[in-house]
Amino acid sequence: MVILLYLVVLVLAISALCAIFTKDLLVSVVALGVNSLIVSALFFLMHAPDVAITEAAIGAGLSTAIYVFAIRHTKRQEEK
Amino acid sequence: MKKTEFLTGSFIALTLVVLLGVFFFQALFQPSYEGKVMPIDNVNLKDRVSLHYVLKNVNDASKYLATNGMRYFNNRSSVPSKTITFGKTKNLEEGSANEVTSIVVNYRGFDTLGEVTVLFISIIGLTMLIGGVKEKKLRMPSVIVRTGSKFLFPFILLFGVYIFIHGHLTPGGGFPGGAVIASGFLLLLLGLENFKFNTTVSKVIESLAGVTFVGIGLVGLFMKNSFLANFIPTGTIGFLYSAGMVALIYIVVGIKVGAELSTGVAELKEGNKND
Amino acid sequence: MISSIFFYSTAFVLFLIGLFGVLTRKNIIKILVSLSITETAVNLFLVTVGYIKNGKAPILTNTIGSIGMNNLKFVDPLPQALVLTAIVIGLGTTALSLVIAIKLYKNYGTLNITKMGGKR
Repeated sequence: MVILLYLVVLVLAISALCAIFTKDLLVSVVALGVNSLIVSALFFLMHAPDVAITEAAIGAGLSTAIYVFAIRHTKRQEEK
Repeated sequence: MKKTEFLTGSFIALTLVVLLGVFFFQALFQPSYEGKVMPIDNVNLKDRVSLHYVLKNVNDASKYLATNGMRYFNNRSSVPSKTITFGKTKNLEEGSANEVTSIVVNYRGFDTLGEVTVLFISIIGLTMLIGGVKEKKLRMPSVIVRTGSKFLFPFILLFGVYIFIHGHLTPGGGFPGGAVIASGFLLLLLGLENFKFNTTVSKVIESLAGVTFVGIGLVGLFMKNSFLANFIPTGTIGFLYSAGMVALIYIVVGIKVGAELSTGVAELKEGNKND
Repeated sequence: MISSIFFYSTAFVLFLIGLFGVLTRKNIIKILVSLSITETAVNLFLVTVGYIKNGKAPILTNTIGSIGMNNLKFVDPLPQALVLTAIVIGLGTTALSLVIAIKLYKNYGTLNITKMGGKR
């Protein structure tokens, strides 16, 4: 159980690093959505179900959508 | 030249971040507060202000503070309180079974009004700035997405309404309910290629909801001499018709947040052709 | 039960990763993504302040039964109430800043902050 928890936090850190270091902005935004989803699971483990529902609906759903729309209006690849 | 500049900047930033991290973790593992060790892992709710929110005796606590002065801070637990039983206890100061809801809407209702206003202002700014950005055509969605989004939309809407009507009994409330409704509209925007979201109607609904919020507060001002005071009887804890105006305000907040967020998403997707 | 030191460490690590991104990235949308990570970390920290070992979710239900001065079972609900609204406000400010980023791209033709300001 505890090992599973450490694995989840490892995925959290990897998704945050991936969101920062990748060149493709779309990959970065999807990694941000994964990050929000895992954080919402952590909120649930901390006995905060209200916050977990809000984070799952907003951080992983709507926030990703508005980032994707903004990338559609601009450019997908990060230039040198 | 460019590369070395970038590497130097990254090195300086890394040093800063590592120093800050050392500071944080040192503060976490050697906690000290006026010579005493700060209780990180065995916090007691009796040492916190939230004790009165949980036991719903805030009025008694403020009376106790006014008569006993600073002595209150040493014995918070001597404020009179009664045991609260689910489904039995009646006529409490605040009758919501969900403590988070009772803090957000009732004890700190003015704060919530301010935060809803911040959201309103940010969406106004978005609408104002997006003028002149043209829409880019999406690829035509497949049959499964078109049919599925038409089929799923009423259920998502119903789920959002359920979340904010039961905000005082189950986890949820106006903010997540509004977000779920906005995600339903997002599904329609993505799934149907000739769906037009009418932003004028949504803005009118949103303004009406905001006016209703302030109106409920003003009714409390005239009936109980305090803005956003609870003027409806609180009922038995755990029933749907309980908690007074909490359910009313959360319905209004849910409609307002849903309209605001769907306006924002629709304008970001479609651009604004009026400029 | 999980120790709260675990959650504190997670929040600190996430905050530091986000801070590093804000300091080093050149692309505007990347900076906004890093700010979002930082904001999530601060929310995690605030909820952890209210976490109590062996506590239950602060909702009175049929299974919990009753609470009183001598059987308090809940975690602290006050930070949760603050974070609940902070997440929604975060979405509003993110949307506004993304629109400003789109307008900057339309004006300068680039998202790189070091190349902005020269041509118009």
